[in-house]
Amino acid sequence: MPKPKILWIDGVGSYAMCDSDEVAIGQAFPGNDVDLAIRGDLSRRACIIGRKGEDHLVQAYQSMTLDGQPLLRPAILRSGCILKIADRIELLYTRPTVLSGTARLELVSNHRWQPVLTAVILLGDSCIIGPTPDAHVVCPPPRGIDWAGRFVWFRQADGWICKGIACPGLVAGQTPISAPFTLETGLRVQSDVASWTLTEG
Amino acid sequence: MIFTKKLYGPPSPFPINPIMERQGAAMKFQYGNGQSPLEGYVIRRGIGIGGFGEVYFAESDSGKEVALKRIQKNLDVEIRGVRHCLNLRHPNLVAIYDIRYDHEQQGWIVMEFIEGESLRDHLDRSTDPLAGPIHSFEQGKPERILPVFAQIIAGMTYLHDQGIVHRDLKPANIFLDKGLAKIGDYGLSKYISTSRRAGQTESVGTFHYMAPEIGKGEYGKEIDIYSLGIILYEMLTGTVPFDGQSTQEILLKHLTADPDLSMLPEGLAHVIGKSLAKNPTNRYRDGRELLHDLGFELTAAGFVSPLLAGRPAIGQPTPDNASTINRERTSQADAQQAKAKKAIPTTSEPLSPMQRIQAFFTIGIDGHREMLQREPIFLQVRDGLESSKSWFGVSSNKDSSNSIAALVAIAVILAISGAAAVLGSILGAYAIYYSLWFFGHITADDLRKAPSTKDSRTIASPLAMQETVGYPTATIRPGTAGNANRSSKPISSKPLSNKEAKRIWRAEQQQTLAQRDFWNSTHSWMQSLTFSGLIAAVTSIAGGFVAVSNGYLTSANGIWNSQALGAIAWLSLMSILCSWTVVSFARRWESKQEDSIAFRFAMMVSGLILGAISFQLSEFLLIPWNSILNASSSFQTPWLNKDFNRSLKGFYDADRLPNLAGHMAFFAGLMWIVRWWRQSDALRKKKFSMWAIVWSMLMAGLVQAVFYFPSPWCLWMAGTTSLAVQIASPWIDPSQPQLARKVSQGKDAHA
Repeated sequence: MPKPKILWIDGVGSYAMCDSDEVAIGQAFPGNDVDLAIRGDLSRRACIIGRKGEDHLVQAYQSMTLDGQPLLRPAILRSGCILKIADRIELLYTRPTVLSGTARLELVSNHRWQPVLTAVILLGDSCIIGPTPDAHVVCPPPRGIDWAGRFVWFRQADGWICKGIACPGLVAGQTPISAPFTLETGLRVQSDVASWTLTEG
Repeated sequence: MIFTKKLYGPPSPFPINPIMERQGAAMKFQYGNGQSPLEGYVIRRGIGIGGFGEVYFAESDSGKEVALKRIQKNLDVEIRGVRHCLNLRHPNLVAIYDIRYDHEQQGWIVMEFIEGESLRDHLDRSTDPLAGPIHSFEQGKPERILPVFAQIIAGMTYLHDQGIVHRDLKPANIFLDKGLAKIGDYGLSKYISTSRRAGQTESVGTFHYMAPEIGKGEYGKEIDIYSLGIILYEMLTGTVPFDGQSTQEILLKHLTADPDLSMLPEGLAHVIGKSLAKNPTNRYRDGRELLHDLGFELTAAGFVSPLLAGRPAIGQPTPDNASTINRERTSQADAQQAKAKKAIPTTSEPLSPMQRIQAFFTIGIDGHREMLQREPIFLQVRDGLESSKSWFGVSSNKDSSNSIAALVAIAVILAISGAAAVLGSILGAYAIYYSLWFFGHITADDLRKAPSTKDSRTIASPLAMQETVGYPTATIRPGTAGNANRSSKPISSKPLSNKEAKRIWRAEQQQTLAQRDFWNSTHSWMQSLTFSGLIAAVTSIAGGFVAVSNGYLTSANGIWNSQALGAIAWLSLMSILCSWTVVSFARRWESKQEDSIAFRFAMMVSGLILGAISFQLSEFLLIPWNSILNASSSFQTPWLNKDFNRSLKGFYDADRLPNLAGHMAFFAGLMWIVRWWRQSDALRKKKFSMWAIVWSMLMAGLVQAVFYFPSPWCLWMAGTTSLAVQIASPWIDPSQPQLARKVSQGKDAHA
């Protein structure tokens, strides 16, 4: 199974974009080929988060709690719930908008992802990158610029395409482009409001 | 660094943050993911763009996550500043790892990558329900803010300890990384010593956090304290205390307006008010003092920790409980003291005779000092001394060494006049009276107020903290704690008066003078000695000839005989020696705060030596004092018999000429009565004052009215000395900084 791609957004952060049906979370150490690695005291494979329709299910492989309750069997994650692995590592699961099945997973305890990530995006069929809180990747507008637009990624059979709403000055690599365009790894996309690179994980 | 904006320049719509003024993604970075402009590092993404260049998140070949700062402007200056900070290590500072150059000789700073956000970003989204480690004051969580803020103070204090003033502390330069607060961009500040204030031509910083004195080109560590006060205010209230539509309006408010502290609890209002005092000397002296008032302290390693007794539990302990708890935490020695405190009866209970006696010996010097403030005789004497002190120009410095010097001086004077026994009797009688008065007036309340060192500290902190975090508490007893006392003091935040400004200017200049190295100060000293000696010699020789020409030696054997020349030589040599004495002391004291009593005492002692030299010199040169005496006149003391000043027993010989004691008495008096060091002070008001010469001669006349010395020789010598030291001494024109300010204000007006 391919590892999640990493979205590097200048001035904002880095995000693991998980578009597979399930991702495994485990400890970060050399040789552990887990999808999402955490630098912490947890198992090689602590749990799996899978997609089921518009929801996400979590299945624990080591002791963990969901909102304080022991996780003994697979459970559906609700927006705002806290997953606690090994009594220390806390993950916050959110669904910024009900219009998309995409969710966001953040470490809220004093731990870090490996490689360093701002958040993990559990992709549904669409993903919003924009300045408003309902975006999956919140990308604040530049100071002095009132950006009310957004980038919206859509899943397609052969990959992802990006539509831009009020995103002027789009350039892919050195070539001016216009939305929608197909997302490619290794290609630097720049605009007047955001610039990013999607890389293999 | 970052200082692409002038203080009084037009406001920019885009504040420039040197390290991470991201706030959006509109920045166009030169390098993108996967590129490796600096050997050994692969760039992952841009972090921010500041006035000096770009910042990237990168990984080293071995996987180390770092921030790479590409210096594009003022490379040499910035690199030099960063190099100074390369080996600073503190958990509350963003670490700087290395300085590297790419193949184009472009400078890169390799530093710690902070995964979190800046305090600026955090404050901007303070209404976000996912807010991280700190919350706004309105959310009722100041106790969560203060530990974060304390870390910022710790980082700043470390910088100050290293001799670095940040000069641009603001939320955008502070980063929150998983509960750790880190100050960034310090390496890019101009590297200046905390004590080197002047000499900067460019204004720095961000207007909202900029101390008022920066406009005058002053960059002491107090400007960081001021910025911290603004930051704390903003963290607690969500807004800066001084805001406006324009840069000029903000700056004007910094200079003149008082912050609105009404929405803050008293303790925090005091801390912020003191940090934001317009006058830098009224602010916290350093981060440690600020930390202490917030209930924290620095460990020996420089880490911040709550004061042992400084952090109230969330369960809102009452002050009494807190005091008790903290007493229990104190060391055994302190516990014993705490026990003694507990044994103090309540105010309503009368003290037993034994308790009164015990109190006399246990309340300590501070306690007795407090009691003396109510004792009527002491108050009368003190008021009398205060009024006489103003006549003598005595400084209000209460330093104990000064008091000792004053006492010694008084003792010497009294011993000379034989009045020591009288004074001793008076003091003894007063001691007995005071003891009786004390036993009659000591109360339980006085015992509570009596400041005692360690105990007062351990009790003070929780009370201060209770007050700080806004818990409802009983009134803090005055005198119980240093903190409580401080909080009751009014904080001056008015604009500086001329007098105050001059005082500050003087203190700063003294600091600058004190920092001169040995060779510089020696050079200045030698220069003053040389010139003062030359001027004194020339002037006194000229004066001597004038005196001779006017017949003051006419009864001697001819005008230009050897004795007349000897008298002129005596005048010259004594003028030179007096000038050298004055100049030497003045150079020694020019960087010190004036302490009139001590200085006068030192001058008086030197006068005794000068008198001895004078006597030996006149003996050696065979000065015809007898002839001079007959030819010269003297001031008379009208209320005494005509020859009073020539007949003091022991000071004059059978011919009523001054003997050794007479010489010593005159010179000691002359050196004592005139504040000579002021005439040679580099920071005196005027380079040359004729009035000072006249005054010196008048005072010489006054002294010789008591201890006779032939005039006009003695007057001429005093005048010559005054002239020589004034001309020969260096002088710093106090109008220069005022002029500079006026020019600056003129430019601002045009801007």
